[in-house]
Amino acid sequence: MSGYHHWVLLTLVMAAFPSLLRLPPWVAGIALAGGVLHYAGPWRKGWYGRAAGALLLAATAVAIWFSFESWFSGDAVLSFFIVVVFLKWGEAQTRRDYLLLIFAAVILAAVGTLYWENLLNLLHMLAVVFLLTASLVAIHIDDRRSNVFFLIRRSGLLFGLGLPLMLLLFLTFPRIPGPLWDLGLAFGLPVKAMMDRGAGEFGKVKSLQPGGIHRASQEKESVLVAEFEGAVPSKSRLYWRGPVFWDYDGESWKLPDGWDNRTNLRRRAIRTKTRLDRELHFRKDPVRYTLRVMPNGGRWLYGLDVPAAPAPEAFISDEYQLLSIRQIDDQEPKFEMLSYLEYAAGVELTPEQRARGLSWPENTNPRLRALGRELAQRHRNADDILHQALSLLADGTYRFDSGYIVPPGKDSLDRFFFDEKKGGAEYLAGSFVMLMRAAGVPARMVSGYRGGTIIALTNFVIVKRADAHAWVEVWQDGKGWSRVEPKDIVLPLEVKNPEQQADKNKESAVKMEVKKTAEAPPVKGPDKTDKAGKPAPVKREEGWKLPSISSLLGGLQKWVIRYDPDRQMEVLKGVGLKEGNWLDLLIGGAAGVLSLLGIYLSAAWWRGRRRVDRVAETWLRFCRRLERLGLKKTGQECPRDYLLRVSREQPELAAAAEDIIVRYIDIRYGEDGSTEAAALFRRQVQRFISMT
Amino acid sequence: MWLWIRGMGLRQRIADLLKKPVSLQAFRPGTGRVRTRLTPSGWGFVGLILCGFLMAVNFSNNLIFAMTALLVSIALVGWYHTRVNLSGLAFADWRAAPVFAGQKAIWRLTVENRRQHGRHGLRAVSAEAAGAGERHLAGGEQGEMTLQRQAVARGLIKPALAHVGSCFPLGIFEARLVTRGLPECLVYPRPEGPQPIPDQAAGRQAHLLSESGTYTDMRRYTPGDPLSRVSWKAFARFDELYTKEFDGAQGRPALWLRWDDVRACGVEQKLSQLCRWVLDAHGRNREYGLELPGTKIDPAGEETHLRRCLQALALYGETEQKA
Repeated sequence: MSGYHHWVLLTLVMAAFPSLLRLPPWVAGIALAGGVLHYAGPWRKGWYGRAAGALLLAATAVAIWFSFESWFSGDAVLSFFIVVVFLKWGEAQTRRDYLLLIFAAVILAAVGTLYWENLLNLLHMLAVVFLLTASLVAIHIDDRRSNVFFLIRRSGLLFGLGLPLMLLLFLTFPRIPGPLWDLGLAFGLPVKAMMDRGAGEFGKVKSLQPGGIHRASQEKESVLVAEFEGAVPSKSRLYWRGPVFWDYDGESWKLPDGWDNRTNLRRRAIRTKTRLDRELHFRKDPVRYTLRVMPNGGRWLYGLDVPAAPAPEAFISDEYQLLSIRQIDDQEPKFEMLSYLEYAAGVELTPEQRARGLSWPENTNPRLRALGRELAQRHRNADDILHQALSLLADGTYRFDSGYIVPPGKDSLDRFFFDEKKGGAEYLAGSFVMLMRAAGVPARMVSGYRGGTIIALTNFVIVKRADAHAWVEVWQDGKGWSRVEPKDIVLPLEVKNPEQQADKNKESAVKMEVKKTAEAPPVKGPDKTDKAGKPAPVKREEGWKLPSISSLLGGLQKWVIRYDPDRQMEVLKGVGLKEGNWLDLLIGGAAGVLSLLGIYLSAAWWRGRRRVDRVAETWLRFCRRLERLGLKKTGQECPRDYLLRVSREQPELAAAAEDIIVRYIDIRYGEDGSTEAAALFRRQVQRFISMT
Repeated sequence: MWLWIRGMGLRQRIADLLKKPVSLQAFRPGTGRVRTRLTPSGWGFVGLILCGFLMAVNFSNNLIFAMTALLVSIALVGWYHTRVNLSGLAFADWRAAPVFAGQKAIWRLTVENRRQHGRHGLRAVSAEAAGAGERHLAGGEQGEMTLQRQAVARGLIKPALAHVGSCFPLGIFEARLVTRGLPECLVYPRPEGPQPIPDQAAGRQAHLLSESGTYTDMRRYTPGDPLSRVSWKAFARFDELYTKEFDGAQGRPALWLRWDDVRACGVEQKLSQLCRWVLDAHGRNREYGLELPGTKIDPAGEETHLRRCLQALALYGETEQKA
């Protein structure tokens, strides 16, 4: 038995190492005991050996029972897996057993990666794969030759040649955003079949509390699946319209009582096409899509802002939401829909509506109110007020931080707007609505979802509760309701995506422009370049002065761990492709891999091209030359006969050919097998070839 | 090409193209060609890659993705290493010598590594015969691969396909160098039987040329002459080989080994007995003739005669069917 089982053991220990550190110590203990069984010799095959294995398994079960809350929690499964793998090592005998074990080791390493995602783990992964290669080579090498240096050199060669290929594959292979059950959802699998199906009650919520959006974004439930006709619009332009809030009580936003009783709803429905056309007097960018809404316990169908077509068992309300006639408890409504991404809606505001759109809970948020009044005094025009308010938000001190909750209490919007200056969408949208109201512009808050996940290679978009969002609608006389998105104007949280700013640092030209536009009246729109406008100069000084190891690691982190589809597209554009899609990626990647392999193959050919037997090689060269001179050597002709024929047919070559052929016969069949004779023979052939 | 297609009805042209027999010669396994395929453990490796890919997608985990990419790359590199390990090996034909039933039939193949790099884990594979372990060939080395099989019954072992394979280095791909097929191998009957040789004269005296008698002549040596007949004195003198010739000896009478004389029952037993007789007679240096139903070989005493007799015994019954 050769020593390959020790390579397998090394692979296993290496793969399990990070998990063993994290899991309770009994896992390592049982694994060790199981591994030691391997050395028990013939004893292991007897019944005591089996009993010991069974005992260890039972101990594992008991320990899992005591250590983890559930049999099927991730850690419990992982612990069990580790124990089983090491027990298997204890009894492994055949080649196949060991192969199975190293494959299991790789899976183990992959699972370990899930809990521990950083650069050390990258190194760990590389080490495990190297050991896998070495184990595979060790298993398949012939025993007599298996010295360690040869083995390490061989597997190192495989590994080293594989690295560039890996890089190429890693960079170019199209990323499919997970999780995989989303794919099933997109292709019609009912949500009931999903593993992580939630309560499906979120549609019953009638108020929006501070931090509510952040709480929703922790959920993984799917809200809807939309299949677009043609290309999917930019994700930042997808607003899925849900509840519209008018009423703020100083703490949270509420829907009026009884808003969803039947008579109310019937009264508010926009029934005729002419009325809809009148209401949506400005509309642009139509998109057609098929909507499939998951059960949410409410009436919300979350049409894309703003829906403009009738649907079965559904209607469009006067707040331009798409509502179902029946509550969506169990069924999954599916219908085709038409929406306009850009719009201005509404003809006139009734006095009652205007009052609601300007209402202010007494004795709350005085500073915001004062600011609004000041704005109103300085600017006549609603447009100017809007721009002024937006430029306040764009001054670079506000941060979008969906997880931050302003300490609850009185005047929370005041404290957000003037003191904390960071918070989630509900603070941002809420304070903006109130600011507008204070300035005399009717405004309301719309909640729903923004964006979604595009499922790779398809036109499907899945919207999850994690995409929850809130935005603002303001009323301008003569123009109607229009959407304002404060989120795009404030800065995203720094820590969340430092790489984005690092990118901006490089493009100093762009930054200068951004600086200017920040002063100018901000343009409302989803994708602006000024996300990282202000703090860039500060960052740059730090970034360029200290090219340390930590920044190198940061770069690696950026390129390996945070490498996502967007960055992939960026790279593609950097290479020179204008409009990258997954097909280009796939073709490019395949072409790259093939060309690399081609280089490897030609290198191998080049190295193997030289024959060991130089005399035979030279002789063949000589024969080829004579063939070109019209004297092809036939297979059955011995060198002497060949010489005779050469002298007969081309006497002028006879002398030179005789010299060479006699030498050849001497080397091959005579006594003179020395290297000098071979060298002389080669020289003579060389001369012959240059002469003729 | 396109113009040519448009010249006639496009549909007609395409139909013609489709009807044309496509030569699959390029894909057939010719001798000397290296083909690679996945081994069972290679399928396991594919499963591993698939598993890694699904995990990477499901958890959107780039590290697992990188690992999967690395596994794929190593498999690709291993693929061409496996190929390179076998390509460019020179080999001759398989050879096999006749054996007696109960012995092992052995096929031998001379393989030569004409390149500088060593070849690892070479083994001969055939569906009909067992290989004999793995071999390593250093640069420029020549080696012999063997395949063997227990010869159970007399007759012909049918020709079979064979190849030289190697799983080196990773074992997830197997490269196959297709060699020429194993030639058929003659299996003589097992020489056994209790009956002694019947001492029946064949009616005439045997003339044993191999025995010395009176010196008659000297002639030039030809390959195959027994060395004991070479005139070494003449060699010392003339530096050329000469063979002495004798008029032979008047040996004992030739034997007739007859089918009908065998007392054993059953065809195979009879053939075994005859085989033993043939070998015994040859060993005693006597001339003998063989008489089988339908076949008669006149008495003689050389090596070729022995082979002819044994072949007749081995193929008894089969040749009849062929005829």
